[in-house]
Amino acid sequence: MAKSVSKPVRVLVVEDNEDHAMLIRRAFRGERWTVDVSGTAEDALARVAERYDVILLDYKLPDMDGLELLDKIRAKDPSAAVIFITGEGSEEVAMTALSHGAMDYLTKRTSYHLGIAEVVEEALSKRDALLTGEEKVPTPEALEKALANVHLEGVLKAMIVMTVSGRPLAWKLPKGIEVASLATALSRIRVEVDGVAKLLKTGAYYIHLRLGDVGILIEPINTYGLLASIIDPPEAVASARVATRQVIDRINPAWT
Amino acid sequence: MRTQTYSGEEVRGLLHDLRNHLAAAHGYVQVVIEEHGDAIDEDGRAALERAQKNLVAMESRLDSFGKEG
Repeated sequence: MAKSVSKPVRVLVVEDNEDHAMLIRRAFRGERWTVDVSGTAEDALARVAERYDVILLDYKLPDMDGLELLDKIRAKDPSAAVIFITGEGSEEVAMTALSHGAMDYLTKRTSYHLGIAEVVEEALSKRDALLTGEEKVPTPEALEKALANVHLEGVLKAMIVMTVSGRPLAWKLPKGIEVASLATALSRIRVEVDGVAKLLKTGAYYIHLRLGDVGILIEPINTYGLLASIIDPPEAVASARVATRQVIDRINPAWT
Repeated sequence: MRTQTYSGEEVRGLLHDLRNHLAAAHGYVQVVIEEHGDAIDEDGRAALERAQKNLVAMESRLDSFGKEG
């Protein structure tokens, strides 16, 4: 449920490219939204005091790195739902943004602006749930619906292919699915789930699963992002674990 | 013919900028189709749709190039 039914949702678009700023602004037409645009980090930080519901933040700004700005925005207004906008090939940056508190991220590709409003609505729902302390546990029916268009086996096999070099793969969970729900869903398909257990002090879950001869460890970056690495066969374990550890140490050294 | 070598970082920067422009151009064509489509005849709309297809094809080519590099 959105923060306010009667008041317009206040959106701040932080984007220095005028064309993209215009296209993004157009995604929020109608009485539901009021939209402001900042072309610099300095201007955005000055505006944050005006309390926006949603902040769309471009990674590349002329006067500050987007991740640094994200941290500053979160420090000034933790209640704003921040959505990170990255270029293609910057998915690792996007995952880092999620671990720094961004609600979601978008990648600039053709037609990306057409789906922005929907992403924002989802982020607002997540934000409201966090603010009110309500944890949304999907019903079995909702989970089935969310997974209906997700070919989990295909996704998991793609993750194996992409991590075969030992490099961990950062993957954003499909809309409406969180790590614990994913583990539940995996147990329902023809994938052997070896364990779902508490690993981190935050209470998040890891998933260790096996597909054929390959064992994969999937570790959450946060509730909405995953890091997958091959841990088996044994010759892949050492390099995969080192690579995974290096990425996790960069994102959050407190994770063990 | 002069040849020039570009670093990986320069190529990545170029790809990033090209994709930025591609996405913007595709977006503006979409704006014309959505907001002015009624004023454009069938040939015009077909031309715009072909323009979008070409932009998407260019994006795919850049994706392939990015993976080759």
